[in-house]
Parts: sequence; structure tokens; C-alpha cells
Amino acid sequence: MERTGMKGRFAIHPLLFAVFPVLFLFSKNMQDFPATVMLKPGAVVVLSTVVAWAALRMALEDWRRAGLLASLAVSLFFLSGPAAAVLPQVALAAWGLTVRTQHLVIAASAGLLAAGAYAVAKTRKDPRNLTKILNFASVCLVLAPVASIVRQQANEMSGPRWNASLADEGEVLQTQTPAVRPNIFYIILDGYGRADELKQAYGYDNSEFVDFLTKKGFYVAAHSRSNYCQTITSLSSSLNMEYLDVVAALVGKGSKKRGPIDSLIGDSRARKFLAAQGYRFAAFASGFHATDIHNADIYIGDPWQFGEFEWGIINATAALSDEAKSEQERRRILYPLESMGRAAELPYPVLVFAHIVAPHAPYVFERDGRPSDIAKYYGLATGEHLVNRQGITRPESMRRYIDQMAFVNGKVAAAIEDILSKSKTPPVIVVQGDHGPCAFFHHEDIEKTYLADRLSILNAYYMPGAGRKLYDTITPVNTFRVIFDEYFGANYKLLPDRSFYNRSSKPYDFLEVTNEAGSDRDRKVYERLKDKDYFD
Amino acid sequence: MRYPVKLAATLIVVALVLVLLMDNAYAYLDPGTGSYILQLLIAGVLGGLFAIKVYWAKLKAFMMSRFGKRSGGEEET
Repeated sequence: MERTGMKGRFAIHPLLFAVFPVLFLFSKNMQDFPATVMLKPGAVVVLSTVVAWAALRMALEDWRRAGLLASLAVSLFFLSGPAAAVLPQVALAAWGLTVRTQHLVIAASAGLLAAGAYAVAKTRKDPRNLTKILNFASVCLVLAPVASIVRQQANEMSGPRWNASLADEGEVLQTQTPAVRPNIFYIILDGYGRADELKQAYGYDNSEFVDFLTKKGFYVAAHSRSNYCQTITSLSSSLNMEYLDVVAALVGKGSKKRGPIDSLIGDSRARKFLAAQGYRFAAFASGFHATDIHNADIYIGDPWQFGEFEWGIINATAALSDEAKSEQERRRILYPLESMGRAAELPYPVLVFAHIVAPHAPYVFERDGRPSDIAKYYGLATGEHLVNRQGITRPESMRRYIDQMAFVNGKVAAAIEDILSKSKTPPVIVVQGDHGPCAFFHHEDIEKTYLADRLSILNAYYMPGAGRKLYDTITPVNTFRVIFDEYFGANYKLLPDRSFYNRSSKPYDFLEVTNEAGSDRDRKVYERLKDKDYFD
Repeated sequence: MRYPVKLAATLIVVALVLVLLMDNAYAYLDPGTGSYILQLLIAGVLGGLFAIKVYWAKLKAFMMSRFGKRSGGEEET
């Protein structure tokens, strides 16, 4: 009689195959998410697997046989996403196939599952050895992300601790609470460029929207730039009214941990300042980890929207079509814009923070608001991640960007009208790009980045009865300094307006480019890139 | 230690080193499709090697019966 031992007696592989995608995704992104983010998707995949396994057990009357089939189903489910991703539609077209990759992958998976079910049902062989082998393979599979998580956690614990504060403890005491406290709307339109640069590099005249803002009483800073070239650094800085040198000094220039910067967005100095003035903090769900501020006093989100991590798990499968994913993105953009006016009706003063991932990619709207005709969903990829890796040419990405911007302009205008009409006390509204467009932005190489384009931003302020300190080159680091000085009698001095580039892989290694952006060298980069469909 | 086990142990170490050296350079969620597939492949190879270990006795017996008989037959002619 063959010796099978304990390893073949118990089947653990279906559960390990099920939790692997969750562990893997967390291990790749743990610097941006707490471990608790795994709980919900982990529980869903484990429970689903257990239910499927139990159902198969009833049909096959054997836990081990049912386990084999459950593992096959789970593996095919989580392989379908990568399979659809690596099998380009163009390859199918080249073979003369008109079927969509996703449909092909689903059909192939269904076929394999049916064949597996037939084999498992019909075989008379003892499944213990196969169970033993699958147990071993699944343990090996899970071991890699677990080791990666342990290593990163050890690094995290050995480094300096960051207490997520740039606030001077005494600063709040120096202010006066005004008799009337206006609601403050801080609306971030991701990647929204400045009108003159849009005209020069994209050939798009955005004066209709700028004129709308001006007529409404906004001050539009005509020559504004962002302080940083990426969302997390830019918003950490603007919401904390400081440059991030102090964080870089503590965490280390070579650090790759983005946690400290991310935490500065949720627990910002502006939020603390206003909390001391009796404000509540309302944050709209953005779908982007750093700006999804779940600990806000009021967290406003579409209940049907997934978080960024859950979204990543779904994308590892072919469960949702590209059209369904794009529809989710459309709802994510529209929800805050269409519901922002409600925040104006709250019976207490609020700081409303809305990070809207548009006109930034994914480009899901045509200019007239119809769903984009891009067949493939490519997530938040920008710069060379979009242009080079997703096969979209630079001219196409530029056209899609402008089309989405033109549509979003109308929605932002409607949101502003809504806020103004529902506000009993005239509000403060800031509409700002966190950085400029992405068509000439390279995540890792400044020599392939046209800085003037990437750093030039829309920066508009509605500050009724105030705004004397605004000026046309104001950068976001001074946004809340101006607001707090003018409305709360704070005495923040304006900081020099500076801009920095950093690589995505080195979020603290800041290179000052204040004078470099728009320089002759920068223009040469643009001249070199503008006629190329892809980055070098 | 048998050869397949040694090989499996070596591959596990190589796989872990590969995984530990991978960096995340994204500003947004990194799906890591490439390393996802790589880890699946590595686990598949390790599983295959383990299968060889599990069925080693049967495999050896099969090979012996197959090639042992043939070489014996050749000697008789």
C-alpha cells in the first residue's frame, strides 16, 4: 500500500489558491495600504471558495475530489484577468478573430473547467497524491508574497517613525474664529493643465471654461504651477501648506515608502486648523488610495463603488468586462460632481475635499459625454505607462485627454452653480489641478519630461469679499495660507513658489525645477517628444 | 536528500530572492501582472518537481521495466 502521509490527507490548496491574489496584490502595494485592506476581499474569496467547495463535496461525495475542482475553478478565475491582459486584442485580429479577448478567455476557462469536472467525476484513482502535490504548490505560491510582506514590514519597523504632522502645535491659538464661517470646497481635478499650455501643446482653447469661472467671480491664476509633479506629493504639500523637505529629511531621500506622504493628505494641517475652528471634514471617495480618506468626519461615496485595492482584485479576473470597468470609472467621476451641492446644505461649516480623477486617465468620456470608444480598460496608467505599455499613441492620449476635459468642464461648472445656489453663506471654492497633463510626463526620467506641461495647472479661487493676497503665479502650497490669513486672521507668511520633480520610484528625492520648467532645455525636450508617438 | 528535493529547495530560494528584489515604481496601484504570472509559473514548476518526487518510485519502476527489458532483449539477440 502506498504511503501518502498527512500532506495528502487534508486538502488546503483551494483556500491557498484563493487567498494568493489578495496576498500578492497587498505585497506589491503594501506601502500604500494598511493590512486591513485585505480583510474584505480576503473574506469574500475564502467564503466563496468554501461555499463552492462544500457544494462540490455534496455532488462528488469526497472532500479531496471536490477540492481539486474547487482549486481549478479558483485558479482559472484568477488567471483570467492576466490572461486577458497578456493576450492583446490586436493579436486576435491578426489571426482573423473578431472575438473579444475577454470572451475568449472566459470561454477557454469554462471549457477547461468542464473538462476538469468530467475528469474528476470519472476517475477512479485515489486523489491523495494529487492533493499532496497541490498542497505543496499552493504553499510555495503563498510563501512568496508572505515573505515579501514580512520583509517590507521589517524594513518599515526598522526605519524612522513618521507621526503624520507638519503642524506647528501653537499655530491654531494665533487665529480668530470669524463670525461667519464659510464652507470651503477644495476641488482637485487630477491632471488639469493651465489654459496657455493647453493651447500651446494641445491646440485646445479652454477659454470658455476659464471665462465661466471668471464671470462667476473666480480669480484664475494665469501662470500657476504645481509644487510637485505627482498627486500624492502635490496634495500632501498643499493641504499641509508646506514643502515636503522635512518629511524627506526624516524618512530619507532614498526611501520608497509612500505611507508618510499619503498620511499627510488624510491628517493634514489644513484639516486640523479648520477642526479647531469648529469645521467638519467631508471627503468624497476618489477611488485612489491616498485621497480616499475613510477617517473623514463625513465620508461620501457611491455605495456601489469599489475601493482601489478591491478594484485591483477584480481586475485580476475577467469577471467584469472592460465596458463595465469604464462605467464604474464614469460613475466615480460623476458622483462627487453631481452630489457636491448637498454638502453646501449641511447645518455646520465644512471643509469639503473632492479629488476627482479627471481629466486624468482612464479616458472614459467622449467630448459630448458619451462613453469613450476605447475598447480596453487600462486603469490609472499615465505617461509612459499609458503611452508605451498600453499601446496608445501620444497624439491619441492627448486627444482623449482634451475630450474628457471638455466634458468634465461642463460638469464642474454645473457643480459650482449647484454649490453657489445652495449656499446660505457664500462659500470659498478652490478648483485646482494637482499637476498638469501626462502626455509628456515620464515617471522615471526627467530628460523625457516636458516640465512646463506637467507642472502648469488650473488654479482658480472663489473667495467672496477676500482674495487680496492672490496673485497670478500662486502655487498650491500657498492656497490655504491665503484662505486662512484672509478669513481667519492667521498670519501665515506666503512661501516662495517653487516646483519639484521626483521619480515615482523615489518619492522623496526632490529635484527643484522652478527655473528649469519652460527653459530652453525644457522646450527642446518638448520639440523632441512632440512628434513621437511613444517615449524613447 | 534526493535530487528533486534539492532542486525544489534551490528553486524556492531563487523564487523568493526574485520576488524580494522586485520594486514597486508606480504612483498608483501596481497590478504586478508580470510577477503574478512569474510566481504562478514558479509554483507550477515546483509543484511539477514535487510530483516527480511523489511518483518517483512508480516512475523509476516504469523506466526500469521499459528500458531494462529493452536492453535485456538486445543482449539476447
